[in-house]
Amino acid sequence: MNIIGPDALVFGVDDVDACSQYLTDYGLKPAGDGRFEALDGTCVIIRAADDPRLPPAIGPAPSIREIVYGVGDAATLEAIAAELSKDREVRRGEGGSVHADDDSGFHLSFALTIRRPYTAPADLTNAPGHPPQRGPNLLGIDWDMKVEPRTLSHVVLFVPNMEQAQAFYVNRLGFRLTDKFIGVGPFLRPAGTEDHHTLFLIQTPPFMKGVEHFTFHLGSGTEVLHAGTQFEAKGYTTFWGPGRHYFGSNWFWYFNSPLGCHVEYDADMDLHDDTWEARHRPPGADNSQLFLFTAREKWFPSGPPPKGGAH
Amino acid sequence: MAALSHTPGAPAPGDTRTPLCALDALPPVGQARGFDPAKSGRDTVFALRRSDGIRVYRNHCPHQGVPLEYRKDRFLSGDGQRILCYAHGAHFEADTGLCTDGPCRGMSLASLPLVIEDGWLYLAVAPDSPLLR
Ligand code: FES
Ligand SMILES: [Fe+2]
Repeated sequence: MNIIGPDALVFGVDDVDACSQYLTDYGLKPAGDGRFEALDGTCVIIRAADDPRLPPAIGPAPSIREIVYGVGDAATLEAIAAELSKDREVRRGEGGSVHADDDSGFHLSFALTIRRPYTAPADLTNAPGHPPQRGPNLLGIDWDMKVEPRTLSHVVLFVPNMEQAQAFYVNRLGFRLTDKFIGVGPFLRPAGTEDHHTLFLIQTPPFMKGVEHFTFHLGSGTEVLHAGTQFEAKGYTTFWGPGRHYFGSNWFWYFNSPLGCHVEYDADMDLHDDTWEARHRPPGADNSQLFLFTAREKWFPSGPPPKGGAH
Repeated sequence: MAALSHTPGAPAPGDTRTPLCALDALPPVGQARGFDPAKSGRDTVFALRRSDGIRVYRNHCPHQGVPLEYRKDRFLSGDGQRILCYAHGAHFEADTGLCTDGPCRGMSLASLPLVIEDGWLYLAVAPDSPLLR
């Protein structure tokens, strides 16, 4: 099944203005009707919690209402519809889209992907021992460097039964297990992408069911640090980061948000194919990050002249 | 107890109270304001008005011990009637700090004792108290 990854996340919220401001400050482009887009058109959609267009809520607002998966071809839509209608209600919508709940009760839909081709620069590195990527007179950074979220990377769900939830995505929708935190949850990759994960599941008590976080890929670790620094300067609250994850090798920086979940900046994730053997490791601080920092205000190692003059 | 200074903001050793702000600098009902009385680099307490008076809570979610707000001073739900932890969406009663929904349901935010004097809001907590860090 050629499922590529999440194309859109739909939230029902109690403060539409705050969420709109937040997503705009995060770097997504407002595209009208509550839609906030990355460079490739993948997006977050914000609606008032009582909007009749939304599927029923899982918990109190703000909360996730629908996860829209992009697929590569119409045959995949038919295959998903045939597979899921074996044991649950499946609704067909516009353009052949398929709508059904997963085994944890999250509302999913599947549609031909909205991802559009785009190009964006790479963060080129000069590493001694390796041919330089930036030749003479090419600068690595710039004051007005613009960082734009490029594509919706992954979503993380709190689920009451992660083994059952994993089985649904693996056995019914053809996702692959890339790595797993023992007893906590699996990192999952659908067949239509090489990204380490587009879905991570975390075992929690049933009343916590919901989205833990989502993130868009930026272009590099430098972009994560730069975008996060600017976001913090706007007054947003860091939850975790900046740092670099062990599983997936991606840079991360998580922030609180008015959407009812964390929102992350991430970059530079590992790619995998079907020859990869999943690693299983116990969860915890050591296994979840290579390093972790706390941002601080910009500072300069000087200051006022010493009192009483120089010695 | 020593008389309170009329130029609050400069805590002295032995203080048993910590000044937060002039009362009229506190936003109206429906909004909150964060404070960093211990100069720790982030807002460690927040205050809000309710119809029957002022509440001050530690900015420390009972779920994971992290700050609640998603942005400077944004501690409340959209309608201003509940406190929300914007880390994992716990809902708290604004009047009592009791968590009514979310991962720490049944637990409470730590409410801090306060004193109002000469138009100023003080915490009845020493400036070096670990509660303010
Ligand atoms: S830290 Fe507050 S809800 Fe999790
Ligand atoms: Fe993530």
